[in-house]
Amino acid sequence: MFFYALRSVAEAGRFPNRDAFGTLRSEPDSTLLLWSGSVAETLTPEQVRKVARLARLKLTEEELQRLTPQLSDVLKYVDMLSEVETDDVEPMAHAIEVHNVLRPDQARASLPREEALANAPNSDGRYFLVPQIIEGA
Amino acid sequence: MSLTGQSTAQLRQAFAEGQATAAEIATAFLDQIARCDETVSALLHHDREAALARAAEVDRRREAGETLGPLAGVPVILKDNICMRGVPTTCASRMLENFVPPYDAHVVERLQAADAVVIGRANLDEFAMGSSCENSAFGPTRNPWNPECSPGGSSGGSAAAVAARMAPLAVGSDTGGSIRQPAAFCGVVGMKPTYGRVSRYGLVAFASSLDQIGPFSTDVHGSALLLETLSGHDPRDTTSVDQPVPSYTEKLDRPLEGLRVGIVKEHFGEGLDEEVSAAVHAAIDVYRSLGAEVKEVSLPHSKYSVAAYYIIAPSEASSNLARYDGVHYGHRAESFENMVDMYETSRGEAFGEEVKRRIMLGTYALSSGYYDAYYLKALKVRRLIREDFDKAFAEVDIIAGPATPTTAFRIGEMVDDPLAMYLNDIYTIGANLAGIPGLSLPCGRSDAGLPIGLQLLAAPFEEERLLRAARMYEAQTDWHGGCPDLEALAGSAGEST
Repeated sequence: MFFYALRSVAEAGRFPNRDAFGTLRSEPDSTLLLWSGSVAETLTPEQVRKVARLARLKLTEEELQRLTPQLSDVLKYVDMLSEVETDDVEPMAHAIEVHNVLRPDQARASLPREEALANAPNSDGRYFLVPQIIEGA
Repeated sequence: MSLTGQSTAQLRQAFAEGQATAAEIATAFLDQIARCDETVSALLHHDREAALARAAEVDRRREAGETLGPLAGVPVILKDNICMRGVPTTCASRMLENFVPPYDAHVVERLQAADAVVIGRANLDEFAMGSSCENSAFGPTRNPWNPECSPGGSSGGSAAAVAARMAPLAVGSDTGGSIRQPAAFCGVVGMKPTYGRVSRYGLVAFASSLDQIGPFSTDVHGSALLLETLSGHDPRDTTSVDQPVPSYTEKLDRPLEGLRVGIVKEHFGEGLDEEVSAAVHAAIDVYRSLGAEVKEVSLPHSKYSVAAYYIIAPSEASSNLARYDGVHYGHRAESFENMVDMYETSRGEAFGEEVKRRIMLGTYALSSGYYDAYYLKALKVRRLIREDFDKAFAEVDIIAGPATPTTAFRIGEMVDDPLAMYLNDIYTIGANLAGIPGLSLPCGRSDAGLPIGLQLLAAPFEEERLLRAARMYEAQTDWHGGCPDLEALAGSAGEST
């Protein structure tokens, strides 16, 4: 189960939970756990701070104070789902039945490099430039 | 009648018969933008010269005797979350303020092949998250019927632009009601097609299993015409459905024989405004008078749709928006300590409050220990919601009901209460979860003069039936001809120029 922790961000491959990226870990996080059966409890600012970290969002103290009760309200509202009997129901991930869509493995023209780099915040004309990731490199 | 007062069909005819050139039509609508948009703020940006050049090109090709497409010379406004090569696409976000897509969305290719003239880019709630257009980083759009009120959202700019006759047609996207709710608030026709009917290639992703592009228009015919232009298979969107596209306009004026109209008792319960309820009941009476059989159907799980949606949509959003990392495109913070801090600061600076709220909700719902309780549970309830619709559509051809619980609310009324705002989508969200087509068309006005929308829903890929049923009602009433006081909208702006 523990790998679900980073599912949302890891899926897109931008924020993989690798050691090189520091604090993210893949163990289940007990400080986030507040699900106790069917009733969601109220979130604390500490928990919201933790979720913000997972989501790679820097929040101001003011934002944190405002978001905490708002998120709690929504979670209390969605808790109504727990009253629905769903034991024998298959989850529905898509509105239409989705099948694997295959195409011939043929080389095609792709975006020219200068166009791909045109929107980059920082590039040297050949690559996207990012801050140094590996210490001492 | 002025060109801006004409329907899409009338404009096409005027162009086809040589009564107006594409340049004249484009000029009339661009002038209308110049007159009204200072008050309405429906558009985020537009390039008058580029639009006129495009119109002149259409005129030149007509003079050369070339065969032109079905939307030749017709002005269209595009929601600013649909990519157009070389033209900014901001999603009403600081994150994409300077983003210029290097490619065209599928629907943009379709519009260009149809010889339409894109004349402006419409405001929206940031990344299409919201129901009021107040979440735009560049300021709210105002409802042309009452500038103190919201046009709805997230496609509020598209709806307001059509209502204020800045274009006869607009393109929006609908993830939980983002076309139908603003169409209802602004007194225009707006339609969400079946999931997969229109390619999402080039639509900036919010919640990929729910997002669908669709048309806005002043009348049902306009939406039918625009939908048949936008629809069709596109291998670049793997959820795009490879099914033939019927001509939605061909039989549009032919009434449906033996139409069975369902009304959902859960749609007329607590929270529904009395004026909206009365207008919708009156509309259902129109169907009765046309010989339709009206029967009650039940959608017992519909009361869970907002709850399921606010797990599923934010979960998908938290994943989709992880791509905004300040590396490939979008905002990058000026100062940061390291790579992770660059991500966090860039995202913290450039996303607005509602976007942050949804990313947080989604991240929480997908986090360790919660996935089963929230996300998986919501997906199971989603199936029950779809099965309710399947059962209902075994008994009726369309479902009729209110598009929104109330008429347009005031700007600022709900900004501090996100949950109240979410509940505004209670009648529209089910169609997204189930993937079915839905449409809102004008069916009345409140005592305060605000439009009321009738929502019609149909089974998957029954767009033709849905549009014909809508046209049956429209042909009996005058609500679609209604227009806000454009002189008053132009008033203040006119004096300052």
